[in-house]
Amino acid sequence: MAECIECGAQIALSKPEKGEIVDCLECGTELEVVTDNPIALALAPQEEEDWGE
Amino acid sequence: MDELELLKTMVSIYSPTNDEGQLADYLVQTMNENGFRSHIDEVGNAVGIMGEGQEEILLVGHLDTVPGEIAVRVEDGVLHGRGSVDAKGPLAAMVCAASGLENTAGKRITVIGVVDEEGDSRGARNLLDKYNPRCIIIGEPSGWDSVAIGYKGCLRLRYGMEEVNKHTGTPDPSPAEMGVDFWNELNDYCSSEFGDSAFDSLTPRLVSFNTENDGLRTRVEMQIDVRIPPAANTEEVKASIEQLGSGDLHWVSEEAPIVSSKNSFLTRAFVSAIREADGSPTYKKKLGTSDMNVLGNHWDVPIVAYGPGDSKLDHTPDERLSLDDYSASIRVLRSVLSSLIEREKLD
Repeated sequence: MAECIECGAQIALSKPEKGEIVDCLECGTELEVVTDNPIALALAPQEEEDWGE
Repeated sequence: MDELELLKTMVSIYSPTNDEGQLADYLVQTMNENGFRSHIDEVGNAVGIMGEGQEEILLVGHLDTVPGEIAVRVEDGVLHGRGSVDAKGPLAAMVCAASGLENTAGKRITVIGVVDEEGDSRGARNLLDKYNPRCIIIGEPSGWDSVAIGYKGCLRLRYGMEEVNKHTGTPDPSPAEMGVDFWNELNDYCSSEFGDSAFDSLTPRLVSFNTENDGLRTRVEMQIDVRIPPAANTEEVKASIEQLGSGDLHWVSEEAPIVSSKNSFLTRAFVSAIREADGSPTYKKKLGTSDMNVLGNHWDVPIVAYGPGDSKLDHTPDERLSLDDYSASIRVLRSVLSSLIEREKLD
């Protein structure tokens, strides 16, 4: 288990991998597994829109 | 390999769509001199292969640019020139990154500069039955510290309406007015569907509007692009548009949207490599289309688009590329390729 850094909800992670992106089911925040032992989460990279090719 | 010389020479060789031959020749010669096994394929794509093995990593950029020459010059660490951003910078960065590999550990790294990306993607389509990649990197300007994971799709249509001339005092609408009515109905339909963000919405663009009158009949013709979000069913969108207004609709072309997983080994490799290069990675979702739509909707493998440059400068007279960003993108690509090579299997 890990804790959402935004809302504090518990997030179940079966086999967390470093770099994995997970969603908090409570608040919808996208989180990144930054270390897998012990498990630590950070905000995932942000999404941006770009009008080009 | 002289990274700056490669880029400057590629940008100096003017290569609008259907005139990519000189650039393809130069790139094949340069790749041959730098450890690749290179050739030009039957449609004019420049292909360079590094290493050998069952698992193939495909890096696909494009040789062609939109027309309009821009004087090539370097000022204050910035290279100005047509194609510097879209997309010779990204293609040159891929060649440089792959050329530095000393050991591909049983993997085949194939870099391809394709023709006709700004046209009908003839070069990319020619790859579909010839390769079996485990992952694909598309060379397009994401910015050195971003990785592009999505492109909208695009429906291209032509609307036509023709009628016998009537006196302008008639209460009946003219063909031009009927064309405007169709455009307005199309806008209303598109704004009523799907999401709020630009990436998630259905977006029409009036590319051209022409009327002709030979004294007996008047004809109006419009070319329209409708950008398709991933949530849309393209066939349902087409059926809805066919119900709008009056006139003749002709579907010119169709590219499906694509969104890649943030959790693929390829996307994660880019996020990690950008951090290694002291960047703060972001994901980009693009409102245009590219060869990622063509290749990513054919092969069900991890795919992203990556390359230096600000895509807001695509197709503009101000096209220019920071050389620092170009160098950073080569470091990122080298790191990504190294991490992919180190993986026991690409799945």
